[in-house]
Amino acid sequence: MQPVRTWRLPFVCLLLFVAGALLAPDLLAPRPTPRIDDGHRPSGTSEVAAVVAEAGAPAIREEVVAPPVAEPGFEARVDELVQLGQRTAELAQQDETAAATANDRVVRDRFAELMARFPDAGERGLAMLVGLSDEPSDPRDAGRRVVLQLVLTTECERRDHDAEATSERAPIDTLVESLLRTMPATATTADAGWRVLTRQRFVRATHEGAVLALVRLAGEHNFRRDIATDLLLTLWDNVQRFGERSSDELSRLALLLLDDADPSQRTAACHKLLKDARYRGLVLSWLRERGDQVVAAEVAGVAARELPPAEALSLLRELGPTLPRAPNAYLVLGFRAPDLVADDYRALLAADTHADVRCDLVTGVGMTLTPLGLEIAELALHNDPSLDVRMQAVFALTSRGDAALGERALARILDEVGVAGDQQRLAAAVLALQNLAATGDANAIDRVGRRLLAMPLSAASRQQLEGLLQRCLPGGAPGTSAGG
Amino acid sequence: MKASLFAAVFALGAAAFVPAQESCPMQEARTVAQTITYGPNVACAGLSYSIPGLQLTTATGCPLFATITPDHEVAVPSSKRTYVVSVGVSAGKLIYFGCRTSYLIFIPIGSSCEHLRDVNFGAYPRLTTAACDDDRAE
Repeated sequence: MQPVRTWRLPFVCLLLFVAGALLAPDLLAPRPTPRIDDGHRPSGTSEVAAVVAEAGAPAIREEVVAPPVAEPGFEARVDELVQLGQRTAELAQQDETAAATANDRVVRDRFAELMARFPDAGERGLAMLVGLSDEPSDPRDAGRRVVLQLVLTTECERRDHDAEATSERAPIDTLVESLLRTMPATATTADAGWRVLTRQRFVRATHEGAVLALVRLAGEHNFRRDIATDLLLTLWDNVQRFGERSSDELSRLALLLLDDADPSQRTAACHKLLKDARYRGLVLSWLRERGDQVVAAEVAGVAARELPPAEALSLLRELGPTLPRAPNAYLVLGFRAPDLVADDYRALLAADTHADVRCDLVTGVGMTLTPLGLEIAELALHNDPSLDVRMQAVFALTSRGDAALGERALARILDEVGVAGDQQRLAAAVLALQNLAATGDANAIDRVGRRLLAMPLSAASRQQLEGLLQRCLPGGAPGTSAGG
Repeated sequence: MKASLFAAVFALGAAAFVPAQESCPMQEARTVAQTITYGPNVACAGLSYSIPGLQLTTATGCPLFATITPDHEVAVPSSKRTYVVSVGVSAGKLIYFGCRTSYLIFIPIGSSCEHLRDVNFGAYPRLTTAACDDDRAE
């Protein structure tokens, strides 16, 4: 029995050494090896294996049988990234740019390691995300959401890239399907899915069932409608973009869906048809016939955001009979194409037509805080024959953070006979004074406030004004500040 | 030409004091629910911002602004002998945002799309419906 034991021992040691080397390929590379007795504690698999290898057979047997330090798992790595990300943000906020940059480099490396170490990072991330509460008890949860969303986005991009190379879409399709199916679980998963998938190339025809399931849930008020609509639009864009359906097929589908009871389907249908000039007239006549202001407002928003500005402006004009006012859409357009909106205002002012459209045009360009916005608002206040448009110009002029400019505008409008005796217009003037309050110029607020208090305000407006003066004036009442 | 928002409100306000029952305008107030519209986005982390009673979020990017049209009423034709009475106005809000993300930050924790300021951009009517048989002069 004794000889047998003698030949076995070196063999077992050799096997253990080879196993260690396989686990840690860098084991065989020449490197300075830390010594156990010099106070250095080895960490990481490869370093432990190297130490063990040098320490001799008995030590090898002892260390390998009881694995020394466990490699951090997925969740631990995510938490480490949260910690590092928070530290980077702190350093950046303290303007310690060099330190923040160095820390950020570490974060990028650690993130790359995580993605390389876990080929199923997407699934792991999704599982961890589902476990996060909507009402976080752990302060790290907000950071975990950010990191997990980044993991999911990166995983989708990685798999989509692989799918492009191999034409094998199953891995990306499966992950996207899981993400879509998980979205109704919590507000956290819904938000993550929205941020990862909206306006990206990952949602394809194969996911139509999952997307429509979300649309149905939204129709039952069990899921956010804006998210469902965004995903449906993303799906439609992608199936056309990647040739899974033709533009004509989608347009036919959209035509059918125009009358769908579900608002998400209807909005998506309008969106699709509006972008195709061939069907724009059809959508407009459908809207006129239907007279639905809610859908018309959505269509106005889509047009202002996505059509070429000149076409959007023309469409907004045509929507007029259905949608008398669309300030939101004109604001979007004013930021996109201020010159176009300003020119349109000048043209309508010269012709003295469409006072209601002029109101929206002044809103659109006047609120942009640009020199052109100032020019148009001043032009409207001093030259527009419509009191409504002049009132709108006051909102624009009081919102620019210039107390003197705002005060002059309010003083001018309060001189108007049509305003001074009208409670509704005076109520609007009180709202404009709220804009002026943001400048913090107590004297200007005091002067305009006192003037308004002497006018026939409604009870609600008077209360609103008194509250404003209480907050803004040093003594809480007019007449106590200088310059009054 | 369609009636403007202000003109409609002021005409209604004036109509409320017309006593003759023969001229009952046969209108009622219909509430238009609050809507939120986002302006163009700039590249940034998504927006998540709360104001009382409202949560503003975007999937990606920071909107330059968001407009909030408050709950308000419009006068619509009615088969009943009713008219609408103005009871005040609500402010339309324009909220400006800015992206404060430092682009060196790979994981944008604590970053991002921040509220800059908000202003009133218009007044929206609050209306109620009253019966023409009531004493409208009061």
